[in-house]
Amino acid sequence: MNNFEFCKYFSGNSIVHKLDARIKIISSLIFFILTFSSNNIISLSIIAISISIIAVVSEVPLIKYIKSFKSVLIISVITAFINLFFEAETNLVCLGELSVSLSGLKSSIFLFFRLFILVFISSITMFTTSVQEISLAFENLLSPLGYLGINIQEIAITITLSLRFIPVLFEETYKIINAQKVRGAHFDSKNVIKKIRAFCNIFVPLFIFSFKRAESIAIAMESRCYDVSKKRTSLKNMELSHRDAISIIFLLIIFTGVIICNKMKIF
Amino acid sequence: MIRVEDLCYNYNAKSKSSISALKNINFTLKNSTIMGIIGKTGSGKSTLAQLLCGLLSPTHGKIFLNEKEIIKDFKNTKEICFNVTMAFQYPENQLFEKTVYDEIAFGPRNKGISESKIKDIVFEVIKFTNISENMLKCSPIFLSGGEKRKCAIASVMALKSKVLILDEPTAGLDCKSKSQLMNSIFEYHRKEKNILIIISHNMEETARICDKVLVLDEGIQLMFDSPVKVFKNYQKLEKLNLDVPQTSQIMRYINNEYPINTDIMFPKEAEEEILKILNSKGVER
Ligand SMILES: Nc1ncnc2c1ncn2[C@@H]1O[C@H](COP(=O)(O)OP(=O)(O)OP(=O)(O)O)[C@@H](O)[C@H]1O
Ligand SMILES: [Mg+2]
Repeated sequence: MNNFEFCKYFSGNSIVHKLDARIKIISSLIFFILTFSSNNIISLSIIAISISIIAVVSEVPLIKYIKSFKSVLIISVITAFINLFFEAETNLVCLGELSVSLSGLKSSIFLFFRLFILVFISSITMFTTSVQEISLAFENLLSPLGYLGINIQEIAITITLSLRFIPVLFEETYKIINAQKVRGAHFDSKNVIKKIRAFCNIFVPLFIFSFKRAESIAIAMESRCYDVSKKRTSLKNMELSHRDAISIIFLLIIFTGVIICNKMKIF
Repeated sequence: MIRVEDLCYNYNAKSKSSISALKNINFTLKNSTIMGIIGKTGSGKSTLAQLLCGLLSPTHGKIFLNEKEIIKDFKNTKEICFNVTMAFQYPENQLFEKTVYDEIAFGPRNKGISESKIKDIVFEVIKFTNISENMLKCSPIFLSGGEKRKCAIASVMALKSKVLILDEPTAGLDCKSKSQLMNSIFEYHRKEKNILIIISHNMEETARICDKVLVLDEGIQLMFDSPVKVFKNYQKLEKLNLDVPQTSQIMRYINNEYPINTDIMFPKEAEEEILKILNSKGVER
């Protein structure tokens, strides 16, 4: 619980850090779409290789990425495993009612790697972009919605606060677990039912804590005269530079590469 | 008996941002004693408490409870907590059961005690902590801050462990509740004859009920001695931003003008001492 590294900004001075946050968010989205649209091994490897290159350039230590993989490993394995049985075709192995087909095996392996690549992409973005930049970028990207009468500032502050409080929530969870451990809760019990019960007991105080925390933050902000409807300026203005232009070109090349490979008939 | 040998603890030991929170702590506590831990904010008091409970494992050194090493010689955290348990600093946010009764019964239930016995235990500990019986049906979420505190302390008392650690049990309570709670904790200790470890910023309390006082400064053990001897070193303590009991401060001021026993820490004894001097000078009551 303590090594929650998924969303922590890792300060640095690499090219990836310096990229415009808007570009990073849009490229992550495009990469997400590409990952899920890729249907053969070559297009998936193109994505994996280009992501790995970006990760190396980002100068964030490899161990950080490995830690964020570790946090989703179990979920990916389970998802991939379940996926094994949901493809009706020629069967490879039969386990009673359940049967595993070749295409099922293929699709679950793909799913497994896709999930990993998704985590990889979001880790790169989160490690190299500070919370302020992300919220500013969202505010910027969503600003067209302002013409539809939607308050962008509100959305931006919501995003900032929720990102900011993820680590706090984890710390609080850790504290509650400890408080229950010293009173004999069964977190290390082998019995699954007991384990689930024990974890239910964590969520109750956690929810209460979050609501209370949210309320007190709202009051604290209001008592300092925060007003969402006011137009706000920011310390740094977002401006695109030549770096961003190069990265867009890079992205376009990968994009076409993947699309072309998707058309090919390979495994 | 608790024996702590050469205990060190670093937060994030493996990474570059390693923080050394405790350095070379050594002490031995006999059975049924009360130890106070004092030290300024960030000196490692809560860290030491969590190490004693087996929630953190030492970077270096060992902790023994009756010759069994904490963590290593116990099956799991559950078994440790029936021997050593603690109430956290500000335990209010950590109440989770539906009613105060269930909250207090949570520990004993995990211990596998029968419901009828649990009832006895609950009624026993609420007497110690001055929780009224009709409060038992309330949800702990809607209690006041002080009531939550009492509830949290009652719920660790209910475990009846050999060692009970209380991390700033009276912080943020009003004056009367403070002394009430302290008295009831003391009563409980007298009955259970357990080892009690109290972390506190209140020097009067510490001096009044503790048999031993451990002074920490930036993770270093400065003193481990009886309260009288510790508070004699007032110059050292004042350097650490710690007070001494006010009575002993007054006695020291008097001592500047007139020789008087400066080891006295409590008003009652001070009164007697001053009256004795006045009487010897022939001043009528
Ligand atoms: N979870 C943690 N991760 C990293 N460092 C920590 C953590 N908890 C405490 N520390 C550091 O360890 C040191 C000791 O902290 P600790 O909580 O033991 O202090 P304390 O004596 O209980 O203080 P207080 O009187 O304010 O409660 C502090 O310098 C603190 O910054
Ligand atoms: Mg503390």
